[in-house]
Amino acid sequence: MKKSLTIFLATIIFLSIVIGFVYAIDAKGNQDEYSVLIFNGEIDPPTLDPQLNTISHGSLIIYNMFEGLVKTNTRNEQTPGVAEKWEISDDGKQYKFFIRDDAKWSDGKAVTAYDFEYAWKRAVNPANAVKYVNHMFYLKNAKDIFDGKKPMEELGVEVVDEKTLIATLEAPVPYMLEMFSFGVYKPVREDIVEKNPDNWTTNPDTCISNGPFKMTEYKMNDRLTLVKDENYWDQDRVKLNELQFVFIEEEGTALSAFQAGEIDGLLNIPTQQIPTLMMESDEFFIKPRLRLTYAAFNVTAFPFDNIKVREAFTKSIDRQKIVDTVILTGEIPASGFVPHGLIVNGKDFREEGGNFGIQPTVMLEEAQKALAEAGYPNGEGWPKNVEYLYNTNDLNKKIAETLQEMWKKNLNVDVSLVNVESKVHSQRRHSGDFQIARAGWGADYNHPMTFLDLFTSEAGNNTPQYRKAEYDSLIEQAKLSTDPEKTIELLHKAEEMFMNDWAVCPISYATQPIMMKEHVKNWDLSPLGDINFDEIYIEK
Amino acid sequence: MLNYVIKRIISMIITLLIIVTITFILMHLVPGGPFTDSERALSPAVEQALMEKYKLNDPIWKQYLEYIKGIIRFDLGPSYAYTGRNVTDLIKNGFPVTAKLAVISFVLILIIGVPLGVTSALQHNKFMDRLIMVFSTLGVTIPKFVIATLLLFLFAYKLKWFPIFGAESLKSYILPAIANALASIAYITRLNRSSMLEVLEQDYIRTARAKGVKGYKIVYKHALKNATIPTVTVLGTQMVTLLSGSFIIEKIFALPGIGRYFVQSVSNRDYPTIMGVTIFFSFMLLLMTLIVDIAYGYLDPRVRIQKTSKGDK
Repeated sequence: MKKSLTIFLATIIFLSIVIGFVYAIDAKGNQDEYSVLIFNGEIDPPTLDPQLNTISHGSLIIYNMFEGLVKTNTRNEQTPGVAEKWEISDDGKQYKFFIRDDAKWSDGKAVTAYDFEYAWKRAVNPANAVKYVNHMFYLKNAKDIFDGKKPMEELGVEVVDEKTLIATLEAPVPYMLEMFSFGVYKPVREDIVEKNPDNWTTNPDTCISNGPFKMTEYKMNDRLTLVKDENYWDQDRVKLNELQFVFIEEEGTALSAFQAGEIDGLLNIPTQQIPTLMMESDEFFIKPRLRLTYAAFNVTAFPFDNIKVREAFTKSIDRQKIVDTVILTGEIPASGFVPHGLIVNGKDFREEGGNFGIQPTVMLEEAQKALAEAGYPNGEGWPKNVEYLYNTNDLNKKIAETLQEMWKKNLNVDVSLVNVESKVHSQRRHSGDFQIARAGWGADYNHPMTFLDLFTSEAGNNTPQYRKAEYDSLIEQAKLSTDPEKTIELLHKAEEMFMNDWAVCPISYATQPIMMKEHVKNWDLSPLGDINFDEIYIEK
Repeated sequence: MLNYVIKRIISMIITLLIIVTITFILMHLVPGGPFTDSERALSPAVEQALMEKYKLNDPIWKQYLEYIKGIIRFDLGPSYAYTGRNVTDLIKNGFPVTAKLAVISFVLILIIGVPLGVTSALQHNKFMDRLIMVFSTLGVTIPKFVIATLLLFLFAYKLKWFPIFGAESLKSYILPAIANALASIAYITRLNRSSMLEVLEQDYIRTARAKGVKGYKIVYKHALKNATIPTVTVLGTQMVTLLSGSFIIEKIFALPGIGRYFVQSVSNRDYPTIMGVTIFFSFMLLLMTLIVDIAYGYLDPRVRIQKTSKGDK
């Protein structure tokens, strides 16, 4: 009996050692050989076509599959992409790009200047209905071609030879290099796109890309698998062998999957969990994001056509309290329209621009004084049925209720809340069918212009219906200026004019919460929402 | 019988046509078009180009006729929200997942619901009956998403018996199917219990007992067949409930089924997808009802005789 027990134990010990050893080798082998990162893409993007995509879920993937002439990394530095170098003319209107010889598509063919010419003409062609076509209008004649006033041949793009491309602009643009790295300016292949113009990106066989990763499998709404592209020119930079996007919309499930180790990273974190995660998790981070939430006054509608009413409303809310007790994701009380983090000429635009006298907490006396000057002392005579319009969503509802309560308490005015579904909200907002409306805006590129050209008379996103010739002229001058310093100076003037007219009530500058596993190294999230998967490596 | 089936199919087509028409009208009455972005206003020219591309500038009646022509060719049109994908493809892609989930849920209902109901009836007012009734009350009252979240937390997250999300293997379907079926199981249990109780009181059962037929034989041979008729009646609609009600379950477990299009397509104003999914589910509902009605005939000769005599007239 005793003998058999000894043999039994010895066998067990021996087996454990063997298994342990094999497992250890295997684990070590895995680390060196094949690394996979699984990221929650939240929703399956409507398209992965660089010209057609408009949403951040799509950009997150496209950023890692396609490469433009210039590459903007997550630290907002412009580095050579497909073009190994470029020359800019003295007047800032002409860019000559020299495409590297080893730039290849994922099927091994060379990337040429023609691929860019084709992509840009495709974007400008009105028949293709590219939603981001406005970003192409920096190119010479692009707007006229889109409007049908000029033929396509006159577009400001010229192929000198297979490896040389000249882009001509309407006017010098201080942030143009960054624009060349933007989705709509990325190359696509004519032979591929023409065969399946609408759905070439839905199938790995036809989805030919030129970036660090290429598609190998695409199961709609389920999983998208990308692998390191062996044809990519700068593949030494790429450490990951495989990058998978899964699409878990439900935040609770996504968090559980992360905590159980089924995924390595996610952006859609349940808000209620954030305070706990902030305290307890080493894998939770809050990153800056170029975005703000504000309440837009309709400056053409009673009673907000009165500037003093707008001032009173803006000064009577406690932004600090809203971010601390309602929003909960470490957002920052907003006191201007351009968020922090836009560094131009070495200076943060927001720091330079100041706060326009808007404090994070309530400015009770000033607010009440403004309301009295508007003709409603202590809220007397305040009209009935003043409505705050927001799009149905839990957080928007809580913010709306808090604002309503603050206006009632501090100004003694009644505001009723109306919530509509987001498409209706957007339609009413853009057409000016509201009194006050919740609104938000996220940057398209790293320059204050992306926020300030919203309020020109012709702009479609001019929610406050703010139309002022002086403002238009400031923006126009800023756009045409060849001197970056001058541009910034003009933009500061524009923001000041707009804020002094109290056209919006800024609420908060956004942040982006993100969770990433500890074994994921060297990752970064840009304020525009891009993740540098091409620089990440895994260390277990 | 054949006459009856043909008649039913014709009425099905008419019903479908009415559903298509009503959905089409309602859809176009809702404010906000398919290309109103939630935050960014589209330039009017781009919007115009998109409207042109999808033929939305045509008069409504023309769009309607084109759509009907499409349906006849089984072409449900392109999705506006998913560039380059056809609604037919969306359904083809998603339906296998939704169907698998529904079938597993359905099997669970049959193998759990029916026996529990019978047991409960046989143990009428005893401990077992009470216990089953407590559970079935819970099952009916707790919402699906609560059950789904609890199951996910306990069996996938804590115990790691099942994956948390996705549809990689059959294992992925177990938790969603339980969450999806629980309310129906509880419902079927209660239904079966009450009809079984009713049947057990009937004269022919008493006669069988008096003649000395054994207990289990009475239950399985005489009582069960009649007691399941009400169950069969509701099974068809339950199947459709399982198919269409899986939306929330699919979302929680991140299953790539078609449930998501139900809600998403409406908020996207993705007209062809709204229509496609509505038509598809209506068709399923009508088909299930037809199958149930035919199955009736086999279970209950009285129904068959009535229907045939009507058909003969």
